[in-house]
Amino acid sequence: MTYIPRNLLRTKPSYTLVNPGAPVRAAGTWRELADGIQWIAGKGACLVPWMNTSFQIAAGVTKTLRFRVRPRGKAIRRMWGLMLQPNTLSVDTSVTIRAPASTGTAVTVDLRHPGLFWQPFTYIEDLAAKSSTEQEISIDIASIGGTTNVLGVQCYEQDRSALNDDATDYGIRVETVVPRAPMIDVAQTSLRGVYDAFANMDARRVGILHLALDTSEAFTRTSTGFLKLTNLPYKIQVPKLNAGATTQAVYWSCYARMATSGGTGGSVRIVTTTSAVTDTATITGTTFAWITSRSINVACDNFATVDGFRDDELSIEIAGDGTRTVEVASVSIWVDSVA
Amino acid sequence: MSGSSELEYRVRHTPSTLYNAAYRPVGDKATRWVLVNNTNHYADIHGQVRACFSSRAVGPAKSPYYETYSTDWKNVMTTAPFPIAMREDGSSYRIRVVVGGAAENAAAACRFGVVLSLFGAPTDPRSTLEQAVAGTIPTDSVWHTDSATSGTTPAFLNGKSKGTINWDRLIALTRDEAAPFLTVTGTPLDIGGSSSGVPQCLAQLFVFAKTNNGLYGARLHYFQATEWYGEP
Repeated sequence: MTYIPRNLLRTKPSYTLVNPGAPVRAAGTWRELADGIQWIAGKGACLVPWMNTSFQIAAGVTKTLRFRVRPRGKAIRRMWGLMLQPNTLSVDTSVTIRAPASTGTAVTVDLRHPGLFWQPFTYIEDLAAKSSTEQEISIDIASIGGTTNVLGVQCYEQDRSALNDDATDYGIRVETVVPRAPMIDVAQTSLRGVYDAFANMDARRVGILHLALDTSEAFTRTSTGFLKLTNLPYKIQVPKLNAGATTQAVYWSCYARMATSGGTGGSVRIVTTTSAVTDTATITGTTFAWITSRSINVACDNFATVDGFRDDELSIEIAGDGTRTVEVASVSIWVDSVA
Repeated sequence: MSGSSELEYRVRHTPSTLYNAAYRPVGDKATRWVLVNNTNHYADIHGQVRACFSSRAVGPAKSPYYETYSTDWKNVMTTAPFPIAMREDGSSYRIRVVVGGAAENAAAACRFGVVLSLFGAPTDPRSTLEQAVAGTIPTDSVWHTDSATSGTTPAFLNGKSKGTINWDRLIALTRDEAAPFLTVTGTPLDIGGSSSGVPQCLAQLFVFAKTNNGLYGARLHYFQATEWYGEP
């Protein structure tokens, strides 16, 4: 097994160097492509963008946050960032953190440390296997000694330091993409290596937004009138793929249940402005579970402007059936594919 | 135009149109549009969302927004460090910034600022913000609201970066600004593998707020930050 290091900086191979009848050079094009593809392939995705959680955990209580994502298949480590704070500075408070919830390696953090007061810290989750399957990722936090304020959380995949020259990572043997090297038809080598790596890389902007709480304090609604969960709508925007496109597909799911059985079920609804989406999922089960992920088309990047905004706005709304209460603990939106 | 690719969209392709056998010619269109254009476009669009929250309208009693009663700039929210994507010239990807806020009471006028920096960096983020707002250190790594808001209903706020570019909704680190944040982070080579180091530019987003009336708070209700390649 050979590991091919990836670089800190992306590359920008120039199309002006590729012209009919002219040789495509290793130095200007193929090596730039190889390094650029590996930069994309090995750069970790942000699974959970930093979100304001703003809830408390009383001493002796454990709370769990759950998120739905489809990770990149080359990641080997997740980096969870947390901002925690003792609710009362004079009370000795610590927390025990595990990711995945229940089964992860427990790490205890003493919140009396002054450096942790405003400075988020990192929990490392090493993965047992690479996976690009849609899945739940989770973290639980147990408060010990006093009440803990949970102010924010994020999770990203750690960048790979190097890629394997195998059929999972598709690292390119860059020493074969140099001037005067012969073009040979060998896996992970030469031009074939560049093409194969390109065809198998994952350039997704994965986590778009999440809204998550522990199931014990889930969002609830009994009325059939829809209730918006946030004060301001989310500015939703996803990568642009095709020529002329103004929208692109994203997936969403929610972790929800009905408090009691029977009836027609409750609803979780996604509503957008510019892209004019109204997509409603019906919740009927009485056990918390993720609904089957649903696809919607929302605004994509606008390369005609400096900042790329289209200002599509997305609201998350819930409703019960008038008699029974819907409970929603998490809502997740992610990009599933840019293939 | 703000992408690095020739076409600024993805050209459809299948593996067989790329490279399907030895001793077959490699076409200039396949190379130029599929490989070069698409690699640049994929590198552009892969910029990640690094922060995205909107304050809850309902839910647990703990206040769902970040708040300060300080009449001086006060750090109300800080993200955990993240490895910001780096452009080919050594500057960072731009960060698309959206800020939403409100005043607790109409008798208060509130301002908000965002700094792209790193905890423990040579320059304190608050000092950077103060000097950038004062105009003594022009930097496009700082964003500041155009005017004070006294609105008590959460609303998206307009602002500008405080450097020579003066973006409406972008901030970024220049090559020189990014340099102090370059580090090597320990990580396994592979699943269960031996240790190695990955070069990264670790950054954090600091959001500051202040009110002109210490009786009523400035409330941060919305913050979003997304990496964006930006103009060539």
